Amino acid sequence: MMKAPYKAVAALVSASGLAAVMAMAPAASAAKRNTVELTFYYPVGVVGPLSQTMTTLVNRFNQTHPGIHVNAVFSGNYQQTLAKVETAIQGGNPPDVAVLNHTAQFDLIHLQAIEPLDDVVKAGGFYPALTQPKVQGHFWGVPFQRSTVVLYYNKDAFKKAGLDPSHGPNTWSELVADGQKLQKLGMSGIEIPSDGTVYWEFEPFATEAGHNLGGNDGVHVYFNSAAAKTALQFWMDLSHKYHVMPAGILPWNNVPTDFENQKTAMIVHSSGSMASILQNAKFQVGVSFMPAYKSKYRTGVGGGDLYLFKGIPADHRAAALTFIKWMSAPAQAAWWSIRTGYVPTSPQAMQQPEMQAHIKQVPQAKVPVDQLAYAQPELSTYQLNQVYDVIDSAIQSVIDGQSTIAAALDKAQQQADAILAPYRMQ
Amino acid sequence: MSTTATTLTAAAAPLRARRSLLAWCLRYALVLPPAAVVVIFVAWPLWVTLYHSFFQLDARGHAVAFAGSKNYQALFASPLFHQVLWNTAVYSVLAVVLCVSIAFGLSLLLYGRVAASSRALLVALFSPTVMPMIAAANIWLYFLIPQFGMVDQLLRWAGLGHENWLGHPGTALLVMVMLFVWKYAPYFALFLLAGLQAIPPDVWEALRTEDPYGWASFRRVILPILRPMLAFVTTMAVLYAVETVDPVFAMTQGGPNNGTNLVMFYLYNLGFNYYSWGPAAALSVLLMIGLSTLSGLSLIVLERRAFHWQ
Repeated sequence: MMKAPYKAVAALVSASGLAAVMAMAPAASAAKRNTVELTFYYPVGVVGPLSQTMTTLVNRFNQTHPGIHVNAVFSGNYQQTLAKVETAIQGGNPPDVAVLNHTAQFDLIHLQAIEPLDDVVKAGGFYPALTQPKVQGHFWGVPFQRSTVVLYYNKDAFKKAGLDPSHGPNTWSELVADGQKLQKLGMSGIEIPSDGTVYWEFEPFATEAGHNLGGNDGVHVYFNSAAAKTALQFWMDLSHKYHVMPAGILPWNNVPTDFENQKTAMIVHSSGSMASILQNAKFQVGVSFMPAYKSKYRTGVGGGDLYLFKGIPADHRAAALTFIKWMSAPAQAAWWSIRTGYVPTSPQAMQQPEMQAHIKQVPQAKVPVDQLAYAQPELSTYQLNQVYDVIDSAIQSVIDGQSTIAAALDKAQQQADAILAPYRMQ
Repeated sequence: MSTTATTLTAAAAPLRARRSLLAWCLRYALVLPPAAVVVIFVAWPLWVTLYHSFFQLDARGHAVAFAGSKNYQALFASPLFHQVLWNTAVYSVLAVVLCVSIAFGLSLLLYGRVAASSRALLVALFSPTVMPMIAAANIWLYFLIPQFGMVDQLLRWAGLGHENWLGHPGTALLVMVMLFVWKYAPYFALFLLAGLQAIPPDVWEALRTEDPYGWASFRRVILPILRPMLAFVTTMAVLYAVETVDPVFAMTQGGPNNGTNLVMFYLYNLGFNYYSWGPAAALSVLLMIGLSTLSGLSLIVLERRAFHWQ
């Protein structure tokens, strides 16, 4: 299964190599002779025709930078892209640039795959929530396609239920009260997705209740903290005590569809889904902060950064830096944000006239940006996929009724500690 | 080459020697590419995998130190691996038993039908088989969407509630079993049908006169004749079941709560997502030994028990 796309990549790479050889031909112009061919892997992590948008963006770069030609290679979702990058590194043929999860940095550092990008990050003036904390004293990824966890609500349903449609529920208890009123309209109060990487939707709840799921050092997690238990108990209560959320595991992809079809009045989802939800819903959609536990607003961030790879020739490195700077610059960040729904990554990107015009038209787009002031770093460790699987399984076993909250989270903590133990000694 | 041959017609003897040398070279030159393919893509990776399973590998997959049986120990120490083995066992037993018995039933049904109608039926039945597994998995993913998918709509029409089929570990594994049966039962039915059709008409006729109810002749004659075919089909079904990975990848990614995490998917995860190359190599070796023993044994049994028409 890995082979076919890998071969395609190999063919592409060799084709670009061939192009380079042909460019070397004496007939070619001097400018062509000096063209640096870069390989750029990117994933698509949300629904929508993002691959075309990316091609357009990369073509713009190629047209405005005569000495450089970037070959953009679509390589599946985030996990598949990471696996592909890893295979390429093992084969001694790393890509020059790739978009990978911000949280992949510990594993990438451990693989000795990436170079720090302190200068680019410092000069970029990005929102601190997107770059902090430093890892081993460096910034490694440049924010590119980043999102937050937000709450979407049906304004029309809020009006019908006698609720104030100007804002969503402010606290957990308001969420329950609003949900119970909305339930009377014949729809669910709320849906929170719980399949796949459920830790992402869960983490803001745990953070609000008092503790992040992960530490900043990549070797500590807090899966069985009192906060995590409180948060998971709240999720269970939403279904089994207050009856405002359907019981059982809810698929990530179906939750927005249920919202668009008015099967549920509120959902928790990525801000990256905003464009498609606003387009598909036939009612007034409100976007709000995650409701606070008592008074504290919190949210999680997610998404991908641009990374520069080690072991590439000097001319590639220089060209790759130019490419990364251009891609993350305010003008491109605004352009990309408007077309995808990802957060504009810096205050300068927010100030772009194009972005300002967009926000006037779609005021909901401003919510994730305002949220960044309350954002906490996403769970990030060494052996990331393994640790994610541990916490995701634990949460799902509770939701599916196979395990109690305390037992599942204690076991998850124990398993994660066993996975991370070898990295603590380094 | 032909031009050199025509210019050298005068010297016949050296030419003959040269020709035989040429033939010799050609013979080996023709064998070389497939042999090279086998060595490079089969023998060498097998050896490297075996070798790596006894070494400690870094995150990049390079051997750094001899590990003895540590990789194997690490593999079996993981509680997740125990669950994966259990999942695979449950899945394989259910899938194989259901698949072979349904295939057998189908083949008997098809054999009993008139030729023309059975052919149309055969084409319809055979359509899932020619479909790639990934495509089949995606179609079922679409059928199984809670509330809106075809399965839930049919259930609603029948007055039953809806179900989030891929949302619970148990039902998700059942979906995998069902997908396997849906895809492979008609395929195996073809083999069994061929077995039934190979029985000469005079045998059938004799059986009809001797045993009008057919149970004894089915048990004593038909079943033994079909036994090698059944053994072959069962072996293939076991191999296919243990090797199942595409529907897991497309539909559940091993979830929910690792309920559909089968051994091949776990192997992929170990290597590409967990960077545990050592245990991944160990698991590959175990799978290789297990599966080749299984097919070897069944071949021996098959040959010994085979029914030969004299």
